[in-house]
Amino acid sequence: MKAGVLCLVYLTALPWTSAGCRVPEGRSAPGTTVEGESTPRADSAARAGAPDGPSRAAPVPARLAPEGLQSVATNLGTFRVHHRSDPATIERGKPFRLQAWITREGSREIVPWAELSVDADMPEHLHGMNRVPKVTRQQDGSFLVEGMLFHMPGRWDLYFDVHEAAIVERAQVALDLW
Amino acid sequence: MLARLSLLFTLTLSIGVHATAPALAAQDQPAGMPPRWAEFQAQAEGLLEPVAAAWHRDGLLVVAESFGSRLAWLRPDGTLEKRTELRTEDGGLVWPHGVECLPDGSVLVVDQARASVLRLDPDGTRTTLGARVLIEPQGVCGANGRVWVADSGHGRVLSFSDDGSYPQAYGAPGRGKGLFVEPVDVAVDEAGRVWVVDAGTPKIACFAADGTLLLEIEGHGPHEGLFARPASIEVALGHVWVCDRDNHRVQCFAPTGELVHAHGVHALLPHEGKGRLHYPAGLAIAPDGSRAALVEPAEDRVQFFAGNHDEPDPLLNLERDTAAHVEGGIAAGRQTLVALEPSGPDARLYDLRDKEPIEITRFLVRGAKHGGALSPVAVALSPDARLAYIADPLLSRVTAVLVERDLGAPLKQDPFLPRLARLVDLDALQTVAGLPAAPRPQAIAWSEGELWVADRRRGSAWVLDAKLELLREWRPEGPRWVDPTAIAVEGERVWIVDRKSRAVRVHAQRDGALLHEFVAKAELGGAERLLAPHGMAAHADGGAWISDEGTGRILRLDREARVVESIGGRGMGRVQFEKPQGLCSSPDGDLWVVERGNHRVQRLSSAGAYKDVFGARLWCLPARQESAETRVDGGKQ
Repeated sequence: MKAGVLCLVYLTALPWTSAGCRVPEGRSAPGTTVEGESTPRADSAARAGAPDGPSRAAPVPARLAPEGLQSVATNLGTFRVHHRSDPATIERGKPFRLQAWITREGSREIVPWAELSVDADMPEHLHGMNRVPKVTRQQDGSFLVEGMLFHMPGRWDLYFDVHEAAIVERAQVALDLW
Repeated sequence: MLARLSLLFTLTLSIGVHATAPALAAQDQPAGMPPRWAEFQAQAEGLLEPVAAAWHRDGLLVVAESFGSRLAWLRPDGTLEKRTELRTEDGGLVWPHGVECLPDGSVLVVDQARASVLRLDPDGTRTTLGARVLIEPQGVCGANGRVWVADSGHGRVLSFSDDGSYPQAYGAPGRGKGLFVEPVDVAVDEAGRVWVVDAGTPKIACFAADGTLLLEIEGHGPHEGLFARPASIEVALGHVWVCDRDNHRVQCFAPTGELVHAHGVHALLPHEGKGRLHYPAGLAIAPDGSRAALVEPAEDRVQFFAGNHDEPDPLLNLERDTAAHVEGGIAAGRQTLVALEPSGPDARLYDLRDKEPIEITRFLVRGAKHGGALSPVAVALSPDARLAYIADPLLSRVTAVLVERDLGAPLKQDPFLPRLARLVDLDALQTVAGLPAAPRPQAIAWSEGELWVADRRRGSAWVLDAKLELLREWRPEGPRWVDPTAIAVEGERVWIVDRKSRAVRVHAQRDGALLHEFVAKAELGGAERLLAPHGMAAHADGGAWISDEGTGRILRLDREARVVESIGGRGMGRVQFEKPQGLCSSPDGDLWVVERGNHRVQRLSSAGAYKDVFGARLWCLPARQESAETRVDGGKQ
């Protein structure tokens, strides 16, 4: 990793945690787990669900969330969001994409009617991102999130908001970016 | 008021100004720079929540006093000429809001209690206009034989003839060009263009007489050209004037949308006036342009200014913080207190382990995004204080925020502590349940695993579970709610405070039957006087504490809604209250009182005796410095 361009990692130990990443002091992200042992290959993973490449690889059954992803439970424990980033190492000032699947907690079946929106904030600084990400549903039941960019160093809270009719329930992951 | 926008201006676009074709044409220039209303002349105090004013043809200023259900007629030196009591034909109390004086000497008054406009003719004739077509009307304007009303609940401005016929709408509810979140006032210029101020977005918009959108100026913030809960709009002297309430100033725009100037010096000392402004909500410019009156509901005051062209001292306005002070709801739970600041907006969470509450975090941001709010007015806590529920009528939303903390851990400020858990957008019910308009959740209470949400517009309560799933709708019998500001569920009984009906009602939970009610009557005085009830907290004997913004008192009602005790009165000392709003009881039985007019919260014992105060320091000093030997009786009357 280049000096001065440190990476962004999830609070708990993640497969793609790199040297130089720092775990924020204090609270962990309740419900955050790591599934499987393998490190996701972000490039192919993102391509798998991307509009321009779904036919080249369909790594997961449409009704099941794939193995080997990070996952986090929503704050009231109704849903679980399985996700990965492209690139796997997120750098400050560099755009990245996310791919996410939504299941009910305790199940691996994708919730077919759920919708997803994604946002991020820096609670210490009372602001969020300076761009609005675009979320599109993919054929395999996942969501592709494009246009993400964290422009400042410090702690970011990444939000996955699961929509089910009029209800929105949030899953969130704390990240440190240096 | 009809303005003198006699000529047209060169169209100039700037940041934050959106012009829509056909744009304003360019023709003439104003004769000169419009004045700043900066030369203090006089002030009238002791009014009862003055909210709007207009100049009458006889040279008097007509002021609507919401809590007083009356009009005050003031001379330009601030002295009182006379008062007009506002009653309906059956003797009911009017809740006046917007006011307008017509060239023929008639006066238009918006009655929020009946969602209509009352026309008072010089011969004493009273006519009701707009009944059954308006929802939550606010500002009013009359010109060219027509009446324009900010029909806030419908998210539009409605215009109709003097006799109420031929209605025409401007705008629609929503966010975006030509749409309104909370239109609060309207003005019409001489060219027939309709100017609207929307406090919810916030923005001002200009329509051609045929309804075509011409221009919008939008943005929230403290800087010049932005707004913070703007409250009224006026066209005069060839310009457009906006009362920018939470920025404590007036902003003047050219009809093309360019900011001409912003002026007003924020009052910082408690109840400071004589030229300093504190939440100005109404502006009335005299027809001859010689003076202007600024209406300050928070101070029960009107100030009169002459205009000048002096450059203001920039050092006077260094303090321009839109983050304001406690208002509305409050909730207490296990070692936890949550108070709201709607004009931020934010919610502040305090730890109660020490004598004085210690703020440990804040949540909510301004906006419609998840975790945001436009008008957080009520809060409830789950019994374990892990979840705080916030009601936001403008977003038609209830938000649940998770606050998981170790109550034994050392105290620290923690911006990461609050986590948005869930929210429900109740406007979805409009489609699902076929409601005529989106719900307006305004009061909220927790009871035995259920969340009760009083809907101002529907006149009913939505009962939700802890995860905000809809369980049922609860409908009370009896008079329809107008402005439910507090709800409490105690066993089989449901208490409601209906502010603009000046009523407290007790219903059976099972079937909604009306069991008891306490309704203010015009002739009642003493402890029975009730001008503007707002908050409620359960009392251990099965009754309830009720706050009255109008009298500054806290009433204790028994189980049958009869007054058994009254404490307080207006002032800044111990057990004195200025515009008390939210009430709550903490698990130790203490009573907490939010004072909108004193920027503070008082803590009382269950017997109503003073224990502590917190909030803006200068506003807390009088109570803190008062001798402990005084008012130990709790200020009972």
